[in-house]
Amino acid sequence: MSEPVAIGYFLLFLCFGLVLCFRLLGWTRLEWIFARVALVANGLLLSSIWFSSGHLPVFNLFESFLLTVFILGMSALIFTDVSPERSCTRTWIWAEVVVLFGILLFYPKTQAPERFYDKDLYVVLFHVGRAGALAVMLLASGFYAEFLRTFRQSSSQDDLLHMGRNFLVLGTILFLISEYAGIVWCLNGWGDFWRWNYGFLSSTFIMLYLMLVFHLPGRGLVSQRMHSITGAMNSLVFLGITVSRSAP
Amino acid sequence: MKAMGEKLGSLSLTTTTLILLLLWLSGGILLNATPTFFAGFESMNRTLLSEWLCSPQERFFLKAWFIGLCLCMVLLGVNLIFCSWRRFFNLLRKNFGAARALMLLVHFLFGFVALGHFSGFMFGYRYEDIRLAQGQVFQPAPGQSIKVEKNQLADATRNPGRPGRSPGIFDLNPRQNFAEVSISEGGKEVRRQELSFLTPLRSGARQVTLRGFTAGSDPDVVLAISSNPALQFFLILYPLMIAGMSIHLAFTWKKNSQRTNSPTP
Repeated sequence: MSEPVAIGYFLLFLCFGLVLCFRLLGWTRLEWIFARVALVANGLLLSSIWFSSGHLPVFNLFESFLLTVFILGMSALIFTDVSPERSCTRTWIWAEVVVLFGILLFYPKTQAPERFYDKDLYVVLFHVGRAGALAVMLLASGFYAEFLRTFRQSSSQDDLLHMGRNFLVLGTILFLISEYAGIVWCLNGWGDFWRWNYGFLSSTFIMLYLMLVFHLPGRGLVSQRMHSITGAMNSLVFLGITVSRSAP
Repeated sequence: MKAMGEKLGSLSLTTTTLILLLLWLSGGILLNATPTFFAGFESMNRTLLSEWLCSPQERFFLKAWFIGLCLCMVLLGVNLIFCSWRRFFNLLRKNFGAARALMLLVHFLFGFVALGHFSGFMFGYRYEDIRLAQGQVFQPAPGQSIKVEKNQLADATRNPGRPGRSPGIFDLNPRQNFAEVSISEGGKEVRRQELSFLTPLRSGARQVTLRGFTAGSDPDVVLAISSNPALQFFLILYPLMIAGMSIHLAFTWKKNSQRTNSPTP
């Protein structure tokens, strides 16, 4: 374990944990301050890993989750409203951030070793695209989860569903960009754009799952609910596969 | 006939097929994790699937799984054709809109990308693990030859702790460890290039890829030699599909009176 990086991780975990607590307690002023402090610290930790390792911080689960949290946190501040309610879209997003940090407890808190190929455009694009796609899909899950919570309370919740759909499509686009980069990477390194292995089969699984979410039939409330449940679960599927591909 | 067409183009069939595909793929992921079938998947990587399917040595169960996967994809393709046909005429007759037209185009592109993917499994040729010493020649097809002109392995002695093992391509500096390879057609050299990891040689549909070096005092070059006639087509259509989706998302980002929760037209 690289000590300063590990200390940075635990401090960030604490900060984001406090952000979630303040959100749940309805202390919005403290949440506002701590969210910004945590995101600045997250950015600094990512930059320090970048400068000390010489590569973008995306090459192991620790680095890519730090980047995912940064994108997710920034997106939460930009795209979600400050609500006086304890439970809102932001609550779900801060909870997701804490879950990501919780998963990292089981992984080495170190930067990835330097490799000769870690500056290859397609290799970098594949990893950055994946981290971005996961962050945006987690954001979509936040909107869907809030839609499901407030499903019967108000008819104006359609906006939540629409935002969830927007971010899920954006996440899909980032995922496809990452897949395309992966295809070219595989083609350049192995001579073919497809391999029959866990990595490729699981990526196809994610893509088919996304297609399923977008093609659920019906237009009524039941359909909206099914769409939001499968949409919210998408980030769990993606997260589960990402974690399973990076055994500690 | 019309009712049959409606059923074949319905979203219910899309959903059913996608669930079936997800289950089928989960089965494949589990099979890939078992030592019994892992070798079978590895042999699928080494050759074209049109040849792999005809090989008597391969396990019947794995072939049945692959054929089942193809059948599910065919069903999805039929569904795409019928659904797109109906929506295309709807678009022309009553509901024309840029977002709808764009999403229809994305669906067409997806169909062609899937076809390009499938043809990559079936057409051309693929030879993996071709080991050649400096000066040796390999003939992938009549009249074509691939020759290793130079074999440069500077880091061969950097693995003293792993005697007898091939140097890992990921650990070798590509600037110091490379091979110079030439492609000839009918005895005439058409292309010559230095190959290193992630820098293959391409000539038309053919590709020569450096996969590593063998162990020993006089190491051979390990190459993958392939030809995929649909590759360029696939590599162009895929980003077009992504671009189409991105423009559609930009069109439908703001909520309007039209239902936009689904990206389908």
